[in-house]
Amino acid sequence: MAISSKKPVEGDETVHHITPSKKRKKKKGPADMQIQMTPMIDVTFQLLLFFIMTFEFRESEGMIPGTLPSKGSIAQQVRDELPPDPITIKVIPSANRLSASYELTGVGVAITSVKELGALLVARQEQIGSKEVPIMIFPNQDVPWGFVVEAFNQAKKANFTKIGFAQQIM
Amino acid sequence: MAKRVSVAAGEAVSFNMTPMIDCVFQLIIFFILTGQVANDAYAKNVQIVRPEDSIAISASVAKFPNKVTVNVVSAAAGQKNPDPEQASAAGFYKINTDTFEVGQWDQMIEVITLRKRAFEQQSGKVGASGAGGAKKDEEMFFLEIRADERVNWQDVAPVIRAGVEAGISKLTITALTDQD
Repeated sequence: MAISSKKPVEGDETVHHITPSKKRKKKKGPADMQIQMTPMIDVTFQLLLFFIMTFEFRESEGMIPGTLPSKGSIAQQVRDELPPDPITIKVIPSANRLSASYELTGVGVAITSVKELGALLVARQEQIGSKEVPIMIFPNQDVPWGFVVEAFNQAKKANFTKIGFAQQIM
Repeated sequence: MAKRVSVAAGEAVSFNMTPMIDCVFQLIIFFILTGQVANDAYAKNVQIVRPEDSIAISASVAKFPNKVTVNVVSAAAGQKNPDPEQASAAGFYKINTDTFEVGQWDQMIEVITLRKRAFEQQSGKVGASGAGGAKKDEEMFFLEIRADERVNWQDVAPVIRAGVEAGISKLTITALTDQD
């Protein structure tokens, strides 16, 4: 509650008569309105605390679209449908599985850099002049999924449209 | 040194709350905008790969609303210094609230099939093969593979096979988007 800053003067206890017109004037004067802020600040801090405690930083996830072969005998289907010379990418993990190398059809040496694999795929695509040539990714059983996605991503980036995983044919 | 302000006895002391309230509201707005609602479809502690020159389409932009997300969670999920051998094995698979152990492929196929059937019934395509070429992505049913990057291929391949068995023709692989 606001405390009056007016200092009391001795002998000023007299009750003065206030005329009705003065009363009216007093009413018309600026009202001493105060909004009670405390509950709002309480709630606001509760909200802030909740958000701080529950906040979890998440990296932006995305999706790389692809296709799956239709149901049936997959092995037979691949044998029937694939042209004789699809481009194959073998994914081979290193001994400690912290890196992987890629073997691309027609390239004699193992590719150790993903960027190099991407460049070779782009060159191959330009050379063939068709996006329809299927790419078959042959990952080793013990290759980490991350390296398989790297190969898939590069094949997609090179604009190939038919990309499949060959190990599902068993 | 802080300036001393003398206050006469009985004088009202009040401090200006406005800047503090402004800051608090700014913080709340930041947290509301950047916060993400917990989603059952996405399992926790899955280390997602960020491919070099990633072409992954941001989830907020991608138009693949009809999908079943299969999470492949590493056996070492949530551990700070995991054993690489342990991390390379799948601990379990998760489709929303359904959890599958390694080897429970039939149950996984069943759940994926049920999800696909529910989508077909909802969109009035009962009996459709789902392999129509003219269909837009929004009308197709996708199998989303959200696998830990450390897990071996041999533990992810059965998920793809389950999708094929369930008759799904579209696939999306979860990867982190490019930082650039």
